[in-house]
Amino acid sequence: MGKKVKGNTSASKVNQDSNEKDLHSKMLDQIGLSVSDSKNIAKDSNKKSKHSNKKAERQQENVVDFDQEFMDDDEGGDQQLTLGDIFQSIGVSKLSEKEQKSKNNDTINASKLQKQIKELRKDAEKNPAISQPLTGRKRLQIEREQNYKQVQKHMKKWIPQVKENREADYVDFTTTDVIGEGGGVKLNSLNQIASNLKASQATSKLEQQIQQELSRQGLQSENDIKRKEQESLKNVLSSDQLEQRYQQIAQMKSLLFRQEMKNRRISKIKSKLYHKIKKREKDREEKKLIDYLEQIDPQAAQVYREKEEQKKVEERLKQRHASNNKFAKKLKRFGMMENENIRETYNEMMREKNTLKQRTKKVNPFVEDDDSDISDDDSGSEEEDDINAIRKKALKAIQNEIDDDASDDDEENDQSGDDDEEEDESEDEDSDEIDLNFDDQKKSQQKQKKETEKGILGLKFMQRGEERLKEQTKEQAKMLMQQIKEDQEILGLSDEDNNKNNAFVKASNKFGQSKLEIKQLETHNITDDQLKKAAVKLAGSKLNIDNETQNAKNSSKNNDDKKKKDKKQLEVTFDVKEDLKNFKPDNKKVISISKDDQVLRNLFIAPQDEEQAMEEFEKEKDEQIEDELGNKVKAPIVQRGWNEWAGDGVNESNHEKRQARVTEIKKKKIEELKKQRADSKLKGVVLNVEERDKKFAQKYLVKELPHPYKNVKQFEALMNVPIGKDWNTLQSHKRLIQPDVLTKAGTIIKPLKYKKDLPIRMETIEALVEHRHGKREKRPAAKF
Amino acid sequence: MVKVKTICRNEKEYQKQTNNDLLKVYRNPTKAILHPFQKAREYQRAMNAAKLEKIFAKPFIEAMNDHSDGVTVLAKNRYNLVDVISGSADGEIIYWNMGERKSKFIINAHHNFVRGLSFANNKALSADSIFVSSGDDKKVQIWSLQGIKAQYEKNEGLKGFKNYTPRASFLSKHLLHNIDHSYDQNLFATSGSVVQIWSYERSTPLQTFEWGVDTVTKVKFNPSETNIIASVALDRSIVLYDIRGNTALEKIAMKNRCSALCWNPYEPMNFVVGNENSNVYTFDMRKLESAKMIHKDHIQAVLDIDFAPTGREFVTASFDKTIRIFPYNDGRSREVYHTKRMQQVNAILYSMDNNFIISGSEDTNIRIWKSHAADPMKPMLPREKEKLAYNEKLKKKYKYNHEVKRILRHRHLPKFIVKKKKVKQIQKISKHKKIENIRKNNRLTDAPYIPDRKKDLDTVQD
Repeated sequence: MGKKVKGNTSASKVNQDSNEKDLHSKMLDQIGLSVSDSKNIAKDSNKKSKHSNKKAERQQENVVDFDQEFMDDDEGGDQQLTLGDIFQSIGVSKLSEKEQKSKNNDTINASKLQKQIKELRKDAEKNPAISQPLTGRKRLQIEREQNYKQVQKHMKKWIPQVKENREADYVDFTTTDVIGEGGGVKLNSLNQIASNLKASQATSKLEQQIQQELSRQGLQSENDIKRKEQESLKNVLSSDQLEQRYQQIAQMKSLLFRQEMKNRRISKIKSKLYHKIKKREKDREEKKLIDYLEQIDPQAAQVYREKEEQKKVEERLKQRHASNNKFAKKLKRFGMMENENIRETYNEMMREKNTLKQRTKKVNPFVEDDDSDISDDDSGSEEEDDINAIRKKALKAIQNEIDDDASDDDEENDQSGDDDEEEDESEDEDSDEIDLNFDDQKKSQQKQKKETEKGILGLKFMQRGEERLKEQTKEQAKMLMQQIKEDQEILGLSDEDNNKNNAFVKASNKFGQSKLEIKQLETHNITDDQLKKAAVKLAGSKLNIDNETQNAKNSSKNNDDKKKKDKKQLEVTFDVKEDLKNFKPDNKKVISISKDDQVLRNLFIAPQDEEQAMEEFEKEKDEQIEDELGNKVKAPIVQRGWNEWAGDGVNESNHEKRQARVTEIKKKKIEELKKQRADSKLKGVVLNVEERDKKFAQKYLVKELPHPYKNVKQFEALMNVPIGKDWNTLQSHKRLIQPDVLTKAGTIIKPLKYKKDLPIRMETIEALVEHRHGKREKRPAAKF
Repeated sequence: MVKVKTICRNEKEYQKQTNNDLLKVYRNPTKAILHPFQKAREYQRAMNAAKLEKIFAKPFIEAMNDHSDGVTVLAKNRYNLVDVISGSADGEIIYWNMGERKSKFIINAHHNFVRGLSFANNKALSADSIFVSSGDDKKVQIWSLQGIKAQYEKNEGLKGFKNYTPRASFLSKHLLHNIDHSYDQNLFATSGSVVQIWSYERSTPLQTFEWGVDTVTKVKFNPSETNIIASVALDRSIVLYDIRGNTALEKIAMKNRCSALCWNPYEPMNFVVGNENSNVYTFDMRKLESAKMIHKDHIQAVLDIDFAPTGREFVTASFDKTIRIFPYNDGRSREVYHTKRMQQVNAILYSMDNNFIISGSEDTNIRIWKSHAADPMKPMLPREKEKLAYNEKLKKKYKYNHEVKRILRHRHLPKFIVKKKKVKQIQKISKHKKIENIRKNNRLTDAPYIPDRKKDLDTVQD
């Protein structure tokens, strides 16, 4: 206010015309007010003015510097009352009175002034100023605004209906209030017109003629024609007769058909005798042919005969022990395998079949391959000489064996296959096994020879495969031999080095009937580990090593010796066994080629083995998972801080403790993650969850959360609800597949009509308000 | 021996004591667990449904070729499905019977373009069908189907009789554009240099609305709030009128001219306008300061729009020789129709039973399309219907899934549209980049963020 007052004084000084200036100064003089008093007046007048409307208020403020806007009050279309007006219109007369009064009183109060102003206002209200009419354009503008506001308000009445439609799960446009009574089918208006047209006139002459003719015969309408047709039909046959006729025809047809089918079947049947005769004829012809062949080429005939013989043998075998004979088939088909007894008999049968098969394979004489690649060359030390000798003998023995008897061979093989033999015998058997490789190879070669003649195995790719296998085995055998050799060399070297201190150990090996003894030198310094290694490498051949220390040599009492020997042997063999498992890759192959029976036996793992395998598997699984998770789990690197690098008071243990703590935390985290894995409780299974998830993600998951959904949970909840019949009751299925818009073909859908009985619900308004403020509650994830 | 666990049940649970006893229904609450393949199966079904939709999508029904010049305007009877009339650039009006898909009457109505056609509201079934037409010859004509039929019968022998006389013909002082009949009174409105309201009985307009100087090209009555009229004008403006008052209501201007307009029949406050900038805008007549939604997909000017009678969809005709169907609440089109021979589409209609679309194009043809391309037209067994509904829901459920989406969204388009679309995309990206750069290097006030819904509006000069 102070400012304004200042403004008015300055303004009065500067820019006003002399009249006003005079008036003002005069007035002030007359009233006898100081500047501060005039302030008060202004304040009061402002307070009063708050009651009047806005424009007036604005004017009122201006009044303070009334010298400026004193006179020009008719600004704006409608004239509002201003204090200026008051002063101007009434003030002259009344003020003059008051001035006189004040002259009398000499001093004047603010309250008195207030009263005066009140009076003034009352007067003004009694006779307000008349506003000027607006120009056309302006008026239109205001009218438009008003109209628009009205319409806006009016349109609100539609909101509930629109909202209801929008939020509905489905909108039904087949109800009567949409399509109207009578179903709303309005297809026929033109049809009506068209029918009218037709009824009135037929268009062409021909049609007219036809119509005339029809009308003459009394067939004007469609119904007449129909009736006539029916009558004419009735005259020919009665319905009963017709039915009888149809039945007869059907009977005849079925009889004919049956006869035909019968004939067809009969023509197919052939008697046993017929087949016998046929077979005999066939045999006779064959014999003739063979005889003829004998004359021309006796060798070929021989070959042919052998072939035939073999075929017959096979046939016989198949008949009795085939896995696909009638008996076996039935077993499989009707689930009789579950019966233990029957299964046993079946297995027995199969076993028999296998042995028989092998025997038949061995029946044929075989020729030894001279160029077997397993030939070995260098033999420096005595041991190697020994080994060579063993080898040679083994070869011979195998030959003999094969020549001798098949059944013997079988027995031997069985024995040699066994790992769990008695100690005494093991020597024999194991030494046997050194050369199992060779043995096997030869056998496989024999087999191949036989098999090349047979059906499937005679095929080229099979042969090729066989050859490949042969080569592989050869190579493996070579490698093995090399290893053995090397080991022995090492042993030999070490022997040479520690010649004096070393004691010699005799290792005796037997093979078949001929026992062989291998003298093995063992140094005193060779540790058990080294021994193990050597043993492992030799394990392929399963050599039994007899160890004797030098001391044992010196103080050798037979009993003690034997005991020690036994113990050592036990230990070694155990070790060998243990290591065998670690040595799998090589050994397995060796075993796998060893013999059919052994393979079979290996297929059926003993329960102990299974347990072991399980443990191993679990171990492996743990390691694998930990590895995987270890990469994922991030543990802070423990770094040395102050007072941990060097100098006095360095506490190494502190650092270690921290490191330990970190690792422990990491372990815990890993454990937790492990538990979260899907396969944590499944024994013997590793689930590759990530891979699976990846695959799953591509197909079933969405990359981004789609627009209307606010969070993943919401979306997933919706996606998890199945719609199909298979997962829902019929009712809910029908509800779920309800189309969004229901319409009826051929019916008119009328535009929306106003329904009065749908008031704006308060909650909807609240929801709208909330929605506008963004406070709307989250919708439930799913509706059920 | 294996121990066999028998199923044991309490007899009381499944035996009724009396006839009225209710049995407890057992339901498996863990559906998802016991049906581990539920998702996979439904997904597969959704895929199949999507593919089947593609296979069965054959929207085109028929082309009717009786006009000898480009079709400029189409009108449907709002109360039956049979009557459709079309006007062409040579002043002919043809009355079509949609049941037979044949033209019935060819009328020489105007000397120049037929600009507007509209059916009156003949609600009674037996009542005469009345329609009104407007042309470039400044004439407004009122036709009655009965009268036309009578004339046809009278001139039966004359081949190619076209000179039917209308029930009434008024000459307007001003240039005329389209015409639209009111939904509940015997009034109709014409656009042109002014908006005029006419009744059948008077040869001079009852009311005229004028705001600004430029020509109003389209005017449409609101189907539900029947006193309100919306119009678009050549000066890029959209104006609302109320025939109860003497003034217009509100005016907004856009950056480009609007050439099509239609009210939503089930949301009386909303209308859509088709713009020359190839977009369609939804407006709420109460809040015109910004568009409610922009529907983008056309690449050239939108020439005509018609809402489905359900208010759930609208169909647009465009200069780019395609027809598109938009959901009322989606920015992208659901469907696009085009044929090799179809030129720019001037007029479009959505049939009143929500099943068909009728388009009139510059190549003088009127084409009939299905509104849902893959829906069968035959009557269906309940099981068939159920299956289709199930498929529909599956598609809806899995529409966000990549593979399903890909199949459902794929449409074959003419080469020039594909090319233009690519160009548009590039333009959009570069524009965006430019403004982003401006924003980076200037104050925000230099390039403020304005939504497209507001950006495309212009300030009104008034």
